[in-house]
Amino acid sequence: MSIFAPSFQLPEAMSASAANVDALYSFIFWLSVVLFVGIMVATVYFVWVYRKRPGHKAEPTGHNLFLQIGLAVAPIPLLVGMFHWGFKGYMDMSIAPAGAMEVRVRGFQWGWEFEYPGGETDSVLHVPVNRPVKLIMSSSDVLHSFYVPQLRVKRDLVPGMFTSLWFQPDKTGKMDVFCTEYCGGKSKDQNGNELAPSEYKGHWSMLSQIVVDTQEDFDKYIQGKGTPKDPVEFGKALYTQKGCNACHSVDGSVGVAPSWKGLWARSEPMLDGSMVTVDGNYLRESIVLPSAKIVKGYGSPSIMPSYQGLKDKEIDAIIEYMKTLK
Amino acid sequence: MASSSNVRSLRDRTRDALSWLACTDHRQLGLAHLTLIVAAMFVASMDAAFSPLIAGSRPDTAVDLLRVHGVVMVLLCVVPAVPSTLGNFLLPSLVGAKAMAFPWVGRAALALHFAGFALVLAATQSGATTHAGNATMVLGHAGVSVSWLVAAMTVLVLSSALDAVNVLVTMHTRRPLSVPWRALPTLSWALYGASLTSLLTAPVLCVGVLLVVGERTIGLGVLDPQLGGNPSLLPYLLWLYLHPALAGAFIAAMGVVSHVLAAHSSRPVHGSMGPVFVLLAIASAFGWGQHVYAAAISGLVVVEMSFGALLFQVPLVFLMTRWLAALRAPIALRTPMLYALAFIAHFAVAAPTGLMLALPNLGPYLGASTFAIGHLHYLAAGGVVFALLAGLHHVWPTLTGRLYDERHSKVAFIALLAGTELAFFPMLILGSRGVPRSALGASRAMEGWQIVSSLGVVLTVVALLAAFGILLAAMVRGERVTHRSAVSGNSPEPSASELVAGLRP
Repeated sequence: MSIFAPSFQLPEAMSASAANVDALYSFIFWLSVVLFVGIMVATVYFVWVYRKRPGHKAEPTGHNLFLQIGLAVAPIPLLVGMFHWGFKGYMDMSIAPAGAMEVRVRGFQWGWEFEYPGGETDSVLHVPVNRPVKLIMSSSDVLHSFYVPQLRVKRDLVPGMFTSLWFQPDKTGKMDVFCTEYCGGKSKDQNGNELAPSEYKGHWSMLSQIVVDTQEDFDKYIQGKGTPKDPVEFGKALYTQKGCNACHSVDGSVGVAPSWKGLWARSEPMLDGSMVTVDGNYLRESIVLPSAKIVKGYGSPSIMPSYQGLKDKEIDAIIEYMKTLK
Repeated sequence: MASSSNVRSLRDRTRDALSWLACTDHRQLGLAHLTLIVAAMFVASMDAAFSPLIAGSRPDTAVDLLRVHGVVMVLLCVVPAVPSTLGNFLLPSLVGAKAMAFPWVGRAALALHFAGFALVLAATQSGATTHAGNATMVLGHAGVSVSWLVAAMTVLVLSSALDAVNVLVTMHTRRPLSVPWRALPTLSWALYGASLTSLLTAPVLCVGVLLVVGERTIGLGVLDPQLGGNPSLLPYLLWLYLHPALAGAFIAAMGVVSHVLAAHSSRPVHGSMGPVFVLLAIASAFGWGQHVYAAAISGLVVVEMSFGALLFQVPLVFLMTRWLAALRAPIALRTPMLYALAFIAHFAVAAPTGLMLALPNLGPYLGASTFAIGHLHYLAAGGVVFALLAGLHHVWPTLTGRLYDERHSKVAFIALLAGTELAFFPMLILGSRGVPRSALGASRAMEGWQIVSSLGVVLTVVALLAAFGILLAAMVRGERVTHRSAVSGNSPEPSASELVAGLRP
């Protein structure tokens, strides 16, 4: 999507609903251009013709009641027509057709997770072309908003509530996904030390993509998403898919949360002064109930959302992956 | 207005800083408000000008600067711009009163404006800003600065509400009995409409502030999702305040433009425009929903809000035809007239872009992009600030007894017009192409239209400095007004006091 080309036009529409939005946009755009030119021509003409000269006086315009009422009433049918067009489009974009593929979308600080009907998850969304897709969305922390310019859609993600959105892409390609609800950002770690700019995480880095595949490519993609046999590989994949990488590094650098490097089997001092040896039970508890035990130097309650939804197999895989990070 | 001896004593008093602390003269109050508004305008403009420069290295600070820009501009500049300056200068003479009904209420409004100014600066300097959206961000923000910000909002809203009470009571009770409502000049009607929105929406923001304070102190649980609350409620409340408040600011601006057009085309604006402004003020309460189409609101609310927003356009079309009709008279292209004509052009951009944003299928797409920011600036900068400058240049000779340099002020006008178009039209272009409004990332900060827009912001800031500097210079050492015909503020639209004189010779 080349959004910086010097022309005045909408990005490529990737669905029939988006094309309908564009038609309404174009209608109002050209109507506005005509009215604007008319108003400017009238203004310049009057300013020139009626410029102040000696011996010229104001022309009485009279009081034409019919003209006044006419001017007040004339725009109403046009506006009601636009309202009908816009609201019908809104209803079409609100009500998903039966049989749409349902994808769960979770927004979190700062990333997206997409879960397919079969339970596969990813941080980008792949969808098949010409099939309706319904997104069922929620947020695990603060308000986010799911914005896809090429589909002309935007929908808020509200913590503690489901919102939904549907679309039917009619051509293959890639689309950008943005968050458009300012959801914070971090330039300092928990101890108040400045992070390097490349490590800033925040609203501006909450980006993703929707990839529209052909049905065959999509099927292949889903098969490829099947659980890897090797738990370490699976854990490594989950590390990015679930957004752990937003806060936990694997190279020892400490950001807003402890690094996973060398974490396994280490003795860690806790906020309450006790010492904990990092083992499976401690890690499981910290994933499901992040605020139960807080490592010394970090704030309480924890900024990490609960990952109660993870399956046992997934938690095991993450722990196996941590063990390899020495 | 003031006789020449009064004019001189007013100017002497403005030199005496101490007398300002206890002044209740409506013109002095207006000048004090104006000083605060111009100061806020520059603080906020600098934030906007600096933001893109650091977007690459410090995206978090860049976003924060834009949020500070928004909070300061809306609360301290746009909303009070016309009612607390030109309203104070002109309302008594427009309705035939000697002074405002409650001088000390006006004084208290100024004190609150000053307190709010200090609180907003303190809060924003320590990093607390509230994006209209995120209740949880406000709640999660550590430290005292959020408390300062909500205190500032309360104080500023109370300031507007006090001024509004003063306007409403003055118009109802200080009008000479012989002057009927229909004889009141259009600008006084517009100020009446703006005051209605200030007064009626103040409690809404106060409720929002109370909820935030409740969440932060006693864990109320209305907004905080951790306690089972719904954080979307705060943006609803904020927009229920902001939409009418900004509409009120624009209604007052339209009143000023009607007034200036009448004065500089040697005739009253034809037709009964006054009540239209009050109608718009009331209707603005039914437009807030268009800001939250993407939130989890019901289809019924979407129907109401989009239909209300479309009907809002009908009186706007009516006003536009009235303004054009008023131009058919000898036109003197002095500075106030130029600002008023530019306002008409900006209005012709702001109204249809607003219509697009109000449509429920198109609105969320454009509203998430810089298109909405472009629309807002055509209303606030191209509309309210241009109307403020039209009005100030119009009243300056009669207010200060001095003439400003007409040639210099015309150059400043041309620079400001060019800066405004360069700064804000690219936002409409980028927005229509789907550039998100709040994701000023490193990669997109300094490219293409963004560069044009940033340069336009710089030109706008310079031109504003020049325009207000010329007015200040006129006040200090401008040529003295010698006879009334030299004063461009010699309005032929009869004020009520002149009407009274005509009614009882």
